[in-house]
Amino acid sequence: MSMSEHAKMQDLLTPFRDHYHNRDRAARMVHAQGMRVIGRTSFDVPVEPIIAAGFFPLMLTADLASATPLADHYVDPELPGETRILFETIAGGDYEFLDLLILARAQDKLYYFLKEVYRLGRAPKMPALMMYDIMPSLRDSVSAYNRNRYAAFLERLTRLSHGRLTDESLRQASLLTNQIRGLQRQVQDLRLRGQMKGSDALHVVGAGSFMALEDYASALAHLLKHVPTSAPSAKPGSGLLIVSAEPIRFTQLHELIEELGGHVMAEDDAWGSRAAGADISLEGPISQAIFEKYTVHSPGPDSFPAEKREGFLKTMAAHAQIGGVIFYVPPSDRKLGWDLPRLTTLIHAMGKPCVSLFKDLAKTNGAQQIRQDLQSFLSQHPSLMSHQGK
Amino acid sequence: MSHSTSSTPMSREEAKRRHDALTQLEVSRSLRAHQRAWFDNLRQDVFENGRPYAIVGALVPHEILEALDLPFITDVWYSGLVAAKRQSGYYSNFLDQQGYHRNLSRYAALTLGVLLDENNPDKPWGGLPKPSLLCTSIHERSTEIMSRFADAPFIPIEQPVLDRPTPEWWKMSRWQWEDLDGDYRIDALVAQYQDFIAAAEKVVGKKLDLDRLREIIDRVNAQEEYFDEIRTIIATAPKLPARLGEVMGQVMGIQWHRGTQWALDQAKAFRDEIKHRADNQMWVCPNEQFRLMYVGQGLWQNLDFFTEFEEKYGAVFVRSNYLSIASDGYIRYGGKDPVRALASRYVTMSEQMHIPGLGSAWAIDEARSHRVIGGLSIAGWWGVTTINRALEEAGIPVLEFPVDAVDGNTWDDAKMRQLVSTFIEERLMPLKQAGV
Ligand code: SF4
Ligand code: SF4
Repeated sequence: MSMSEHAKMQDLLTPFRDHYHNRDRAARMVHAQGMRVIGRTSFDVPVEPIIAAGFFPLMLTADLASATPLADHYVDPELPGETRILFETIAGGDYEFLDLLILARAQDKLYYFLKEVYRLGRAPKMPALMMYDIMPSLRDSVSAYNRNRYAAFLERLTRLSHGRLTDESLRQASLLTNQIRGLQRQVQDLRLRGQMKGSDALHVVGAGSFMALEDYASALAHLLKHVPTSAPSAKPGSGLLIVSAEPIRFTQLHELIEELGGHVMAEDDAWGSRAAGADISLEGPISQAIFEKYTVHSPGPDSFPAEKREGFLKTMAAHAQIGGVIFYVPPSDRKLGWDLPRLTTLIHAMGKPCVSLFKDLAKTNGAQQIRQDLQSFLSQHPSLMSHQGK
Repeated sequence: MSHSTSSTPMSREEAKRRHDALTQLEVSRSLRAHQRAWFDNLRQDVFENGRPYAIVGALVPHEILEALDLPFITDVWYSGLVAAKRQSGYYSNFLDQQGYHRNLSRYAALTLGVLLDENNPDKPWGGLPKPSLLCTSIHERSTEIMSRFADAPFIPIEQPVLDRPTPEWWKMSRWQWEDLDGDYRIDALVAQYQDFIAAAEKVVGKKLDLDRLREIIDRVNAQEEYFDEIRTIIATAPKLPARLGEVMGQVMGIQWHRGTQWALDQAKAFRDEIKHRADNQMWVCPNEQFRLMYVGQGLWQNLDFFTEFEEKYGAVFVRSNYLSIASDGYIRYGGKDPVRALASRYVTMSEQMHIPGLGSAWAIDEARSHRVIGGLSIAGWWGVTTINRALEEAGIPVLEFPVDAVDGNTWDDAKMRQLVSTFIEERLMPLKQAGV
């Protein structure tokens, strides 16, 4: 990429970076202008009904560096940092402006702690809460429960929407998000060709959780139209796939890998390459199609059995552009580690190298160890370092 | 349900002698004899003669397997046995070597370790044959590995989230459980139990007899009623009639066999013995001064630790979750549909002791009914922080004990003694003097 192209790229990325860093800003701004906002804490909660009901959808994430005096008082120290920090901000009143906050099954403990401080009268500025509990196995025996929970979710939004939530508004919302999915797939193609850095892609994709979706769609379209593509395509087998036990809500790991000369072309994560997934089918009943998109067509890290949650990983690892896999398995992991020996064998059987990082990137000595592990991995596989100098 | 995993043989022998000397209850001896006989049977039937069996989690309805005569082992219980054989270190390392990192829960997974460890000629009791069926929480990823290894079906259990928590749940749990637990949540578990029943029926080649299941549930209810009586005796007798460590061991030993006639008879004998001791004023500590409770988990690694505070301060432990949850958590009356009654019992089982609000309301109620002056809380049990705060606010001081309940490594005897002494002297004595 030439100097001027590089400068142009930086310009194009600015709005995404901006929203990626100032995560609540757009929501607070539209709220100040009179628009109502609904928060969610997980991609398991479908966004289309929220938009269709006339709300701005905001994804809540935890800033892992913040202090947690309230959480220290109520929440056990061994619970995940994300739970503790979200508890702090939500119970502390930071999200009073939300009309509703929807938590998903994976945040059941957060839900319980929040309910309790509210019951005690000690979190009067907490928004109304809803639990959206979808059981990940999707077996026949849990499907009635799942459908019932989805119906309760729609019903709640219908009530809040004063009649705005209709099949037609759901269809419009799905058209918009499908359009975004198409654009995000193009971003992924750019990455695989080596024409967009992994950390840039995380900004571009992640910003979608914090922006008004119409604005996001046009920003994406603008980016894709103007993105410089004169640089030669990356060589096959030169890219990395990241598989992380923690959702990749921040760019530190990508930036570290890039600094060491690696190119992250994909991550098995809804904050990155898995953001788009399949489109919502616009044939047939729309609310059913949305439900299926979020369950059957978007298996997450809790899906069962393993074949379901690993489908994307296997396809991506087998991609010709991917030359190696990095597993990030910090001490907080209680799940991925059980699959790791099998997955490692699988990657090796594809003739590709992989490395597992077991330290915590957020801790200083953890980051040092990770840097060393990555350095030695990359130096053993120089074909993965063809991107030095960016 | 566990043992110190790393104490030396010497200290273990010593602990055992001390433990035997402190054994007061006749039922402690009969329990041990039964456990031995039962395990011998299991070993012969299953481990040696290859009768099909299931590996299940602790919160799975064992009653269904009981009704189908399908032998089973519980993962955490078997892990406890492995630990008792002082093999947990070996199997923990073995799992490391297989690539399963240290932060993954080791405790239930020792069962996986024994199963995978095919080349070791010296496995506890000759190792484990491949199970024919597995059923645990879906969160137990190690079960997926066992299932793949044994080529046996895994029926995962997904607990519905408790979206409408009721703080005083124990007041509704016996009769009003349909309201307490929510019909949609119970439905969700019933449907999963149907999968479990179908899979178990396939293994044994016969249909579940619902009348038999109903009888088993009735026996469990009757057994828990004895536990309820015992709790009332302990809470209301002028002084403590039996040591808590022994009570806890007895309760857990019976609970593992709940639904059998033996368990019911043993629970009755247990009640009789406690009642006899209370009627005859056979007190643990005649000079009883301070009544204390365990908040959350028990100190399984050192159940006898607190006996020395009896002499020094007249301090006794009168209450633990184990006895109290037996009656408050297990009893389900009015179950025309026995599978539904089971689903209600397990749909929030154990969680109700953790979930903030539910756990704290219960702890405060229990503290008051047992007339305790202070609590001891062992770290590492989710939810306990909120419960401790609630107890403190209710005027019940809590000592937060910084040890892992099952790990012998974190135990520093002198330091622990000092902590307890300071707590009694600085926090409880002033309360006592003030006449609280
Ligand atoms: S690359 Fe890092 S510092 Fe730069 S905008 Fe992105 S997150 Fe911020
Ligand atoms: S029942 Fe008692 S002896 Fe058996 S594992 Fe549990 S604590 Fe140990």
